[in-house]
Amino acid sequence: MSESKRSEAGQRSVRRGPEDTHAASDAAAGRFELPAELKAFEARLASLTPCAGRLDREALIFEAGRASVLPGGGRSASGVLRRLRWSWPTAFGAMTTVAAALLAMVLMRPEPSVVVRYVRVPPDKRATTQASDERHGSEAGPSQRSPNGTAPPVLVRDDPREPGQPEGEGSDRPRVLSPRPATILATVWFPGHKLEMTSLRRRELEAMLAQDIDIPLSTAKASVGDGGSERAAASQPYWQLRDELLRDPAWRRATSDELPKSPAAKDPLRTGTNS
Amino acid sequence: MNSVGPELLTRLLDEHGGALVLYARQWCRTPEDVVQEALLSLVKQQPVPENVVGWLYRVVRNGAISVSRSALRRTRREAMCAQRGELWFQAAPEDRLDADAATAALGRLPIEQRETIVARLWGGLTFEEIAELTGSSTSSVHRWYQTGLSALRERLGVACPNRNAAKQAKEV
Repeated sequence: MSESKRSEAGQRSVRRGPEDTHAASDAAAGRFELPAELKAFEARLASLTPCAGRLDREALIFEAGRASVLPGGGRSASGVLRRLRWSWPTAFGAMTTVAAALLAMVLMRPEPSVVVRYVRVPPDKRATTQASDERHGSEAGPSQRSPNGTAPPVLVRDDPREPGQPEGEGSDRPRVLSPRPATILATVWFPGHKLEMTSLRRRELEAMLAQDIDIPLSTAKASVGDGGSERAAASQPYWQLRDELLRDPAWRRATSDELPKSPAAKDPLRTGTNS
Repeated sequence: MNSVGPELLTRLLDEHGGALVLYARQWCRTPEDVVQEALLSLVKQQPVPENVVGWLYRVVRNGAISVSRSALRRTRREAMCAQRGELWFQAAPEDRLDADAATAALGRLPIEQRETIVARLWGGLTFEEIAELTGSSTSSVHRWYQTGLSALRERLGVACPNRNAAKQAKEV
């Protein structure tokens, strides 16, 4: 149907009303004829005018104009307002979910592991390193650690094997220690970190002795991977450092009730000259 | 005709507003809101329906029934209508029928007869359109219309003019 015909049909359909009821239903009147008595009563009844009630023309025109300019076209104003009302709670819920997920990720993040690499240090460089360590030993401190603490500490140790000795299975692979003993070792090597030993527990000290005594630490040195500027910290013999630490009154006071008491051979208070 | 303009909306309101309200009043107690929503829906309708009045009556009917179902959860519609006491027709001195009596008599009719009479008498719909609106046959709609008119005439106490003439002839 063309637009003009549609317009005419719309105009015609609007014109029908109570006054031309019978004209509009001429076709039906031929088939459904009412008795004469009812026809007269029908005319009298149709003379009553229905109440429009509280139908407000101005309000309706206003709402129609408002609906015509609202975004979304077919949606009513109340529908748009309803959707806007849910936008902020939805955004709040989404942000809360993201925050909770980030918190869970932070709490469940694994601690950085310590990688132990065995390197071969020539004897001449070893002497140079010891001299350098003696010069800078007093400066060794917490500043030598990773500034942001994100990079895992790397412990570089001298290879205990003799030159030319065939490499065993997996000997060239880095050895990964758990973070806690690594912290202990680093504390031993850095004299400035002795106070951290006060946080030692008996189990940790035993683990340190059982795990690290087998490692020839007499020539070990610790360094921190901070972008290539490795810096030697200390090269004192391990047992000497350990005995000094155990003779430290502050550390002994802090850990007196947690020191291992057996076996006697590994009692740190009795093995001060075990090197 | 792409959309309903203010002029057409005003004409619809003037010529069919009262009848639409009366039609919606057969189901719900807030007919004005239903009619207003129907007219707003017509404004948003694109393209404009071919039979605007028939489309309006259908939307008003659906809306009024929906509102009525919501109200029926709390109380029965008949009880609400009895307590309401609103006039369905404008009282005018030249009317030959009493508006209050017509409201009461129309309110006691079954819903099918009421709906048919209102749509036919004041809405100007044909029997075919009413049949399509109600989902019934044309003969059923005509039967409801005739039965409803007869019941209204009896309840309003309107005598048959032919019988009155016969009575007068016998008395003479």
